Amino acid sequence: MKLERRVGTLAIATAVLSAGCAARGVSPQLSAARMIMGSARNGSAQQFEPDQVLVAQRNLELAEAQTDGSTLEAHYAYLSERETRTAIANSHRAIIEGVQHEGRPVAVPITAPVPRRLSP
Amino acid sequence: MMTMTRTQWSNALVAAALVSSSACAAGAAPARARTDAAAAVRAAHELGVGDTPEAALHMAFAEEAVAEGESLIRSGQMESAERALLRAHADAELAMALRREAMALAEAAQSHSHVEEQRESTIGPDAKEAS
Repeated sequence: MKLERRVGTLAIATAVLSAGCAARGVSPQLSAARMIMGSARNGSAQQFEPDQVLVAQRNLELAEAQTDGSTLEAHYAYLSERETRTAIANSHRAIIEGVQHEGRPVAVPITAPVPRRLSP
Repeated sequence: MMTMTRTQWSNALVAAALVSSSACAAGAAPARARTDAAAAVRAAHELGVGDTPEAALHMAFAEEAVAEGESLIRSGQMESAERALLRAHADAELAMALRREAMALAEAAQSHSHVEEQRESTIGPDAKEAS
């Protein structure tokens, strides 16, 4: 009788614990990292900073390989999210500087006489 | 000359293994992560990240993580310390990237307004209407 009760208690405890584990989802850091990586892959970061995106992608894969909701998952996802955002910011800067650089020759005719109208 | 028997050799090896494994368990301070994080935080300060709000926020995260890392080193939790310092480094790098982006944007806006001023002084204020 005592043994049965113990086994029953153990079964309930195991069920509660496993239900708790099943309910535990991925960390908010991983959700954020996945989302930002998606926009980086479809945006300018992939074009201008492919190496940085690749490093972030590796950390995202490491996060995905960890147990859901674990400290390590959150850690790697955090790194990935920051690295992706760094790549995005660097790509934006590259675009701004590129536009500015391309825009400089346009400024040259300003010093020369500019016709008020190109056509009558 | 004293020679060691097989048993003495094996005892010595076991002792060496135990010493080595206990040293690994205690762990050495993550020197590389510590140096990298400190260098990134210093560089970010020098770049003036405080002048860009979003960059300043990430700089605060970086400094917080450095403090956490140092505290973990003092309490002997070297792996957790290394992770905190890696996060600090990532935040400091992001702070610098955001600052540089903001600076490039400000410079572009400034040069655009300079071009507009030159344009107006050369072709007159009604240039926009005419073109």
